[in-house]
Amino acid sequence: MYAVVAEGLWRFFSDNPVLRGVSLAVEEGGVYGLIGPNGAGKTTMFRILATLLRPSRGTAKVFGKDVVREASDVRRMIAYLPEEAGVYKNLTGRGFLKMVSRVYGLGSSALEQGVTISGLGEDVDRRMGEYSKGMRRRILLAGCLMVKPRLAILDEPTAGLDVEHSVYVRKIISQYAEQGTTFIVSSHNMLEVDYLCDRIALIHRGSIIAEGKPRELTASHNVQNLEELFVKKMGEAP
Amino acid sequence: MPLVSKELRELLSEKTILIGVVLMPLVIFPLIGFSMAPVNMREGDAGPGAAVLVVDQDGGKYAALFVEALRKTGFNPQPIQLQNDNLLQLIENSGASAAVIIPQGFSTQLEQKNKPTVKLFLKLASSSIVEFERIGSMRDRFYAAVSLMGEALASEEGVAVSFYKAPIDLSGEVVYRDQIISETDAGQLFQQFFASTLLIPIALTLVVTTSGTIAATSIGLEKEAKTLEMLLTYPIGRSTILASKLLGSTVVALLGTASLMTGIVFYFSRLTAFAGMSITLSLSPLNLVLLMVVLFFALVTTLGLGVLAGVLAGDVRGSQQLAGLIQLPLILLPLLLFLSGGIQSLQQPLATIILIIPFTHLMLAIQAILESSYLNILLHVGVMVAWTVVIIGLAAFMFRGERLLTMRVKLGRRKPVV
Repeated sequence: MYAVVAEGLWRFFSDNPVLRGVSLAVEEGGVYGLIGPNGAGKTTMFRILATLLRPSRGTAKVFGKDVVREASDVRRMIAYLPEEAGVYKNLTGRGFLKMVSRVYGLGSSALEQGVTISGLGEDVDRRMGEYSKGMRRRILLAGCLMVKPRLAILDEPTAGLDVEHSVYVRKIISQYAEQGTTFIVSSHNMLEVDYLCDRIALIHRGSIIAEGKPRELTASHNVQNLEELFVKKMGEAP
Repeated sequence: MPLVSKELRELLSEKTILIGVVLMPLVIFPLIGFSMAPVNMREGDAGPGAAVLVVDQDGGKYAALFVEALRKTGFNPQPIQLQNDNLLQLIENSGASAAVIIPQGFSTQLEQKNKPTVKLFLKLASSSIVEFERIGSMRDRFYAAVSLMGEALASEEGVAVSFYKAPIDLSGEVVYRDQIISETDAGQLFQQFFASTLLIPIALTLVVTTSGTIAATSIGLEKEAKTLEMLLTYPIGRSTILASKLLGSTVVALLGTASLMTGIVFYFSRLTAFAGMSITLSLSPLNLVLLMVVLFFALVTTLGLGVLAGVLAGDVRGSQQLAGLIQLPLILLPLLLFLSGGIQSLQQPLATIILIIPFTHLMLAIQAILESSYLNILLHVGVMVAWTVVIIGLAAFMFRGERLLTMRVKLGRRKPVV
């Protein structure tokens, strides 16, 4: 079964097309990377899948549910971590996770699971306003994964994090992917993409310009790695 | 100089500063002046031709001279006979602004160079600044009539200067709410009125304005911190999120209400303790409850406006600026007009416009509570409830769909040069 199926997605802001007929299919399980330069349309794509924005044209389905007509069903299956998402500064980490578990109608075991995912130890009882950027990202990721979503949409989950926190986040993503959660992530870090993603799509100016497994793509384009592939494809793009 | 120039450019590029500090006074005060001009003109009740009931129990030549003096000072004396009639009813029924009783022996006393006492009754139609000003102005003119009497007496032989300067004692009383109160009490009533009319609306306005900003900030914070995006993808309805925000803000607002009401109760307890009057503007327990109800709806309406501002703006600063810009004229205009002259003194078209503003009814409801006009309280609370429903409905509408994320009303501030 496909976790995500998008067909001919267009999205305009005023007269400006940010997505131009994007079609992609993400199989259930594993990590799918959406790669592209700033302003390529990644965040808009994620926001549509997360039911925050409506497509101007085309359809998008998450596990067979239309993101517009069956948005509430979709929201029960997904977790979304926006790029540079903030925290409620006056809540403790535990307080935040407790709120999330209650919103999803989950019990204390989910809360403890969230605490474990965050890996923050005693810091989970500190106010999130005191957290470093890496700690904030970890607690937000824990909030996403503790609800056991079928699809986790993570917009640049490690952007701006130091090595220690980045490694931790990647480890958690890999761990949950192995347990069956489907991830769709964006990143500017090609090493991270290579390490994490089973399949990737290159998006540029609102269109998918390449799609496949990282190894297959580098081989078929006769490049050494994803960074070279990225530069080459961006150079070729109109 | 370059730094001053930079500061000026930065500050004047902020539209809120430009509008709030520079343009708003230019608009509001001329508007108040324009609206108050008809107030002064309308004071015909106290101006030339103001009807004064004259009960002449003397019938002598000096009584006639005093009536003539009243006429010369611009009153319209209307002689009446006071038999079994109640003077209060006569004043009410005739529509006169005042009444004087010239006592029996008035002329004889003046002939004997003794000061007679004339009873003066001034009608206070409502507890408003305009009314207090009006009766003050009338009282001054009664004294002018007494001076005219003195001038007439001065032409007679053997009149001492000290006598003709003030030949008549005026015993002034005020008719208010079908009761006669002494001028001293009226003065205290005015002090109470002034204290309550000024302080209660100003205090309420502060709480109400702050509450609107709380709601706007609440949404602005979520947008700025990008926590809103996550919140909107949780499996809960937008209406639940909006209701939670309103409820949270309402709890804060209720705390503010409770705090304010405690302060007001204490304030009034001190006022009445000092006054010791037969008539006061003190708040009964029922009136306190009504004041709380009025304040609550004003707060919820403001919270709705705050939510609107929060939805329209992109960040905390923007939402606070927008909330201020929406609230400022809506709250300040009725407040200033209310403090200046009262809505009833405005010309009809302007009064209609002002009456459309929800917070006008906050001011009018406060006035009605202070005067215990329960029908008016009901009317104004009803209008406020209707406005509350409309604004919350509008806020709910704006909260739906993607406009919550995509709308970015900017107030045109310059981007900092990087």
